[in-house]
Amino acid sequence: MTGVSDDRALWLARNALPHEHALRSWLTAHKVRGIEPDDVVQETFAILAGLESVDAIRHPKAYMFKIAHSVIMAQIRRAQIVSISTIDDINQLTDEDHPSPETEVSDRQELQRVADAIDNLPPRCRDVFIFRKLHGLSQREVASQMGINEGIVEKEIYRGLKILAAVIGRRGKPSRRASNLEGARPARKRDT
Amino acid sequence: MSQRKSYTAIDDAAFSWVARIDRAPLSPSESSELEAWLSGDIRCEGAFARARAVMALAGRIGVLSPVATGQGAEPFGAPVGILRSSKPNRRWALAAGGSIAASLAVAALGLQLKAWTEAQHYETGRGEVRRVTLADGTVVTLNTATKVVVKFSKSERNIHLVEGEALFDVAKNPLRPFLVDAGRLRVRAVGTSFSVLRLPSRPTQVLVREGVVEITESSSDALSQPIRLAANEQAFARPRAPIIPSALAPEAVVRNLSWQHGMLSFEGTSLQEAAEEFSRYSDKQITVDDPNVANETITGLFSATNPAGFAHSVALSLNLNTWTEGNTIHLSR
Repeated sequence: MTGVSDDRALWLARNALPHEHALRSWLTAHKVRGIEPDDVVQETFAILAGLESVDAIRHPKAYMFKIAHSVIMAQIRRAQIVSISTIDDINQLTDEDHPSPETEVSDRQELQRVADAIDNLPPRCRDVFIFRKLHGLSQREVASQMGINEGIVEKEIYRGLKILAAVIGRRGKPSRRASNLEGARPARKRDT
Repeated sequence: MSQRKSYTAIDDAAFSWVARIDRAPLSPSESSELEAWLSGDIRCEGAFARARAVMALAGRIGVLSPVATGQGAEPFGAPVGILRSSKPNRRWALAAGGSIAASLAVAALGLQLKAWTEAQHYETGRGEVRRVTLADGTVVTLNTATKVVVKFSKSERNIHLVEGEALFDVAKNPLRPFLVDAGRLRVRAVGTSFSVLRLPSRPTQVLVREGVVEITESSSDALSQPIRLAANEQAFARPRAPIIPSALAPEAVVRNLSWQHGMLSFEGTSLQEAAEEFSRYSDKQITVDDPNVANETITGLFSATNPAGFAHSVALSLNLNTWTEGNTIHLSR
């Protein structure tokens, strides 16, 4: 498969997606001028996907934060928006937010959350996911089962993925940014 | 940086690629289009990986049942579909002839509506093999000395294997899971073929001939991870031991299920084990007096209900003596 192996996709599902929300909150709370949290998340996933092996990663959440941190540092260097205070802030931040045991959600809870999210999809979308994912029918079989055409099934899968990503990664908040605003946004004051 | 793509545009494209790939393999031109898109921006790679992860995550609900059995989908007419592993993104090879259709299942739907609620009892005596077609089209083959209680409801098909061994050729209906309760183990299927053996003297065994089933321990809570058993795999519930699936050669599966034709098939089986197996099928017991003889191994296909014939051919091939005393057939040097 192009890009990402099935195994890695599953690893990301189990080890990265559950922490995406925390990472986003962290990135938003410590927003650096000119750097978009959404971009950092995407790059972080790209790096996790590209790692030769993930076997040695014992603390995926901490690891994910570390990667995000390095992504920010690289962007700062690239964009030459170095300011001493920014660097200081960022360095300081890495030691925060290390996952404590109680903040780790159990795999089972996470699965339950996904099941609930699927159950809450729009009806047709939910049915498509149940047939496709729970019962393992192919998209074609789902189409025939539900009496709709295959293109619609694919569209529902697309729609469902988007919603699920939002529910899992953003705890329900859809992407706030709809347009091409990179770098044009003024730095936001944050309180720590 | 002027033409930088927006986060949302990238994400949308990633989800749409993943949905497309989920539908059918990409054509060569689509593949290169995807390659080109991925290599354009590291964020595309990341968004794609993330979308693939969301897909994989959704696939993991295959191990949970609440969505399936709860207020899930409306019934869509004919119960069809093939249960296959819901492991994410595996490219399935559709089992031959396993496509949608099943006029049988359509007919079953009409029957579903009435009389699902009463329990039905089926049992076999020693040496008897019985084939029963249930109202949903499922065929249950009961082996010797077996008791089964069938109870169907609108959302589930429940079978209680009280004792013995049965083979289930389950009519496919993804909306109505087929559940076999065998004491310590619960086996869940949608449409598949598998057998369950439950005897006081042996660890409960589940053997899958076709499709996939999920096993849970009845003592565990609803959310514990079921054990997936695929075709040509078996699992035993040994006391105080975890349940671990093991693979079987297809021939071994056939051999294991030869009882449905009234035959017992042994391959390198010890005489002792074979004798115990025969004792399930008749009141006549085979006794092997000498432990060395008991450890001799035998291979062959025998009539399950003819222990004397079995003893006779074993005596011939291993150069043993055999004689009968009441209900006991002796084998010795």
